[in-house]
Order: sequence, then structure tokens, then C-alpha cells
Amino acid sequence: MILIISDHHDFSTSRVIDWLIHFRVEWFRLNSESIASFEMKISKEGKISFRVVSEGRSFGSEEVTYVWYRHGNLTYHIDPVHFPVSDKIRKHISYEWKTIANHINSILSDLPKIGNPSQGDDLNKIALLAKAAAVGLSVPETIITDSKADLIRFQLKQGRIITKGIQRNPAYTDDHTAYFTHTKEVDTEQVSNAPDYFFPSIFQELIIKVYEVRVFFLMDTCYAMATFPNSTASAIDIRNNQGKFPLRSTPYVLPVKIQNALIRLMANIDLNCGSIDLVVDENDNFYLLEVNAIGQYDDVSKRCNYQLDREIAKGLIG
Amino acid sequence: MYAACMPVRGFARGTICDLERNKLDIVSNELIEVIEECDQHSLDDVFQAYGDDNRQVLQSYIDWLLANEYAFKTTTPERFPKLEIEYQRPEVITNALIDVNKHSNHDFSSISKSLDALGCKDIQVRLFDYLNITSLLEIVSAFDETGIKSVELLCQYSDEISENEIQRICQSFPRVYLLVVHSSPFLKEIPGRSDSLSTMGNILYTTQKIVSEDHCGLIRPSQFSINTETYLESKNFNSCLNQKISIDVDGVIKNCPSMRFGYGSISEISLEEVATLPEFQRIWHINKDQIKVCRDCEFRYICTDCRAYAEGDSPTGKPSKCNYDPYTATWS
Repeated sequence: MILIISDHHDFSTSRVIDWLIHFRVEWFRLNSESIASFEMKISKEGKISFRVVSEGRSFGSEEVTYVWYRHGNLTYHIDPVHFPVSDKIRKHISYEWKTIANHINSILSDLPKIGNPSQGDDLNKIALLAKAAAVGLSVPETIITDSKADLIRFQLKQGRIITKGIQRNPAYTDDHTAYFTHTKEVDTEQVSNAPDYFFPSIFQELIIKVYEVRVFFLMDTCYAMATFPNSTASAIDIRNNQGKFPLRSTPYVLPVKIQNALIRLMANIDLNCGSIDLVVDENDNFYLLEVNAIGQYDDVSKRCNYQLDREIAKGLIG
Repeated sequence: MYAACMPVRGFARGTICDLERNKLDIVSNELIEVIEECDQHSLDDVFQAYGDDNRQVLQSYIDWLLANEYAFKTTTPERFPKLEIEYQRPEVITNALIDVNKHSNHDFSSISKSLDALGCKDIQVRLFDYLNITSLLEIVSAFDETGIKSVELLCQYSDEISENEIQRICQSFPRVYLLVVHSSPFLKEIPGRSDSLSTMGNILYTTQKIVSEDHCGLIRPSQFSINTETYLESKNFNSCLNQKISIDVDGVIKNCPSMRFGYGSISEISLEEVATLPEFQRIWHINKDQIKVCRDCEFRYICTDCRAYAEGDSPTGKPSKCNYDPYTATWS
């Protein structure tokens, strides 16, 4: 049986399940906050097994043959009506649950898998740049600093620079509108207006890209798509497209050298599935910008007709 | 060329189908030839092959392709493959068409269960005669709690059903994508609610009388659908009937209600049994490259098809309700 850890809203999970049904294999979708009942046993021989009830179905750990870690965390649903507990107690039991969940993840991580349950969905982006450089990929010159003096020095050395979120770009929603931020260029005027000290922020050299490459990495295969900027704003961040049409995106084959470096990088971070962002400058240098453990791959799949839902399902069948 | 920009050669002229920007340009077949040459050879070689006499024309073609963002220049063409033309869906059936008149006696709850089991995502129900609000609700509610994504409902106008009630149907059944009220004394369009992906619950009052399946099968430019999904499906399969199943007013299971041939009554054979029959699926494979006249048409991969009303009653005849002639490039 294929166990899928996801959440209710993830559309890609539903599409992969359509393919699992097509291939007639057993599956179980375990959504975040949906564990209704749980039992874990330690046998005399020292073997640990568990059983989960969720959304009217149940499974035992011994039935699981393959795991797809797609999204979210395993959380136990504490029904406020049946468990009317204070916040302090809630905090304590959630800590207790974490110990259980960590162990579930470690059992699942020992099984054949796509994605990595014990790693969660949040890779440390700073560590990642270092690891990318270690396998021979170029990364933009980067500093994280809280000092204006450092920033001025960095700008003098690099020329044009950008800033963005260190781990993720800030996004929030008020009553009616969702706000997203993108990578932005920081010019000399903004630097001279900055206070002497500020919260530690990331700055990188601005790479003038000919195109950006989004790679969906699945079990050592790179499904790549190149996207061409059409303006200065979208050249800094392709999500920043104010034009009438979507930016041009087209299927792409990475040079073998880059493919091999990505395979080494993903092996080093123990992840066999994820989305990787690269940019290519006018001298054909490839720079790695980011790796995301949970990639929204639907866009790449549709635009390039890669049928990634089917390929993931095939991977899960083994 | 960007992979989403598809040059299509017709008999008299060609098109560039921009599947990413959902638009179409009519071009000469000479331009399509230039595109094909540039796919295979470097620009320098192409200029050399065309010679000095054609240099200016060639340059203007290439400038036009670049300016319209159909093409780009690169020194690494091996990194830019074409789009895979393969098309495959996980479901057995993707769409269904159910016709109803005042004599029909369909069991919608069992139909809905069968369609759900087949993986069906989109359903159209056409009510040719007036049905009261209770019957309407009964039909729509049958699709609740299924994997069916969208329901399009055509019903006949009547004073008995107020606009308010029509709107309430759309509001209380989130699967209703479009509700068409036909034979209406007036024209009116009420847009539905939008989310990021689509607009659901649209209402259209039309004066057109849709009282039998004969209204179907028209081929018009307004029905062109310029996107990757349609293009790939049309390249591989029939652009109307692929993965479709239908039930006519008498309850007979067919590829399309307008077709004569039926596979038995819904009371005697299940939708699941019919859907997997090889003879039921055979017509799915008649793509536009096999259909007479269509195979020479520059619109063939963005157009609908009709196998019910075809010229010469042939399985590969041109849709008879199409009035485009690709040999002269004229609409009559």
C-alpha cells in the first residue's frame, strides 16, 4: 500500500491518486490534522509498529510499501469538545505528540520513498547554497548582514545587488487581499537611506539572466523548463511579470554537467524529489538560486507536457 | 520556436497556434517552411540556402517571428526540445453527456455513481422539455459527493422558475459550472463567482430553442480552443468523442446522443461495461489527420469535431455542419 502524506487542499495529490487508481494499486492519503485515532506498539523483539485511523479508514505500518511525503506535518487532531484542555496542557501534549510524530517519520523514512518525511518541507536555504557550491554549482555572491557598512562594501564590490527573504519571501493576507513579495533590486539610494543597523537580511549579486530554469527533480531525472524574462522587473524575478501575456516558458534539457551536479546535490541533502531554481547568464553560466522540497510542479508539467503526476505515480509503484 | 507555438500547415495557408497565450495567427505556408528550415539548420545556413534574392523576405519573416515572441535566437538549440505530443489521462471517461425530455426516466443517482467510478470530471445535462424545480434539483443533487468537477445544465425557460431560483441552484450546488436557460424570451448573462482557477455558477438565458440533439455539431471559429490540452488531445484522439460517454433521451448508451448506434439501454447494461468495450472506444482514435478535408485544414488541432453529422455518412467524413473550405480558405 502506498502511503501519501499531504493536506486536504493539495490538488497535485488528487491527480497522482487518479493515476494510482488507473494503475490499480492500493493507496492511503493521510492529510494534515486528520489523525483521529492512533496506536503504537513496541514488541518484545524490539520492533515498533503503529496503526492510524483517519477520515474513516485505517492502516497499519506493516502494510506500507512506499511513502510519498508531499506536504505538511503529521498532527493529531485534538477535538476541543472532547478534549477541553487549557493552553498550557495543550502545549505539553503537542510536545508529547512531536516525539511520536518524529518516530513515525523515522519509521517511514526507512521505507522506499519519494520526498523525505523526516526532513519536512523546509530546507535551510543558507546551508543549501553552501552545499550547492560544494558540488561545483555556481551560486550568487551572498552576504547576510545587519550592518549598513557591510552592505555598502558589498554593493561597491558587486555592483548591482538584490534582496529577498532568507528562507521564504514574506507573504500575508488581510481581509480581502493576499500580499506577496518578490526578489527586489537594492539600489545605491536605498542603501544610503538604510539605518546603520537593521534586522539580518540577505543580499546577493544581481545576475542578469538570459533565462531562468525551473527543474522538477524526481528520482535522478531533471524535468526542466526555461522561462524567458521580457522586462527589467521580470529579469530580476520572473514572478514579477506585468506584461499582458504569460512569460514564454519552454521545455529544456540541462547540460549533462549541470544534471550530474544536481544529482550529487540532492543525494547530499537526502532528497529525491524537489524543485530547483537556476538562472543562466549571457556567458552561459548556471547559478543555483534555490531548492524547495515541496515543489508545485503542476505548471512545469502542463507547459512542458511532462505528465509529472503520472511519473510520480509510476515512481511510487516502484 | 518556443515549444508552445505550433506551426500548422494547411492546404492554402497555415496557422501558428500559440498554446501558451491562447491565440492564433494565420500565416502563409512559406512562413511555415521557413520555420521548418530554421528548426533544422542555423540561421546562416538558412540565409545561404534561400539566396540573395530572398534575403529581404526571409529577414522580414524572421523579424516578425521574433517580434511576436514566437521564436528566439539561441546558440544551444539542442537544449530546447519540442513539446512531447503524447496525451494520456488517468480516467476511463473524462466527460459525459446526458439528454432528457419529458418521457425520459433516467436514474440519476445510479448514473452519477457509475460516472464517478469511471473517473468522469465534466458532465453536461440537456433538458429539452420543461421540468419543474423539484426535478431539476433532483438531477443536480445526484452529483454531490462525487469526484465530478463540473456540471453544465441546459434547461427550458418557464415562468414557473424564477431567476432567483435559478441563481439559488448555482449557489447551493458548487459543481454547477454553467446553467443555460434555453427558449427564453430574453437574453441575459449572469457571471458566476471566480476563484483563482475558474469561474463557476455562470448563468446564461438564451433565446435559442434547444429542443433536441439536432442543434449540436456546428463548427465555428468561436468554438476554437487554443490551448495545450485541446491541441494534444486533437493530435492523438477525436476532439469531440474521446473519453466521452452519452445517454440519449430514451436511456440508450451511445458515444454521442446524435449518433444512431447504441450499445444498449442503461437499464440493461452499465456505463462501466460499455465504456471499456473496444468497439465503444474505437471512434475515440479517429483524429483530425484521418478525417477528410479536416486533414488539410490549418485549424484542425484547435477545432471541435462531429462524427454524428458527417459528409457521405462516412466514419471519416468532414463534419457536415462545417462551412469552411481549406482549399480556398473561405467560410461560406
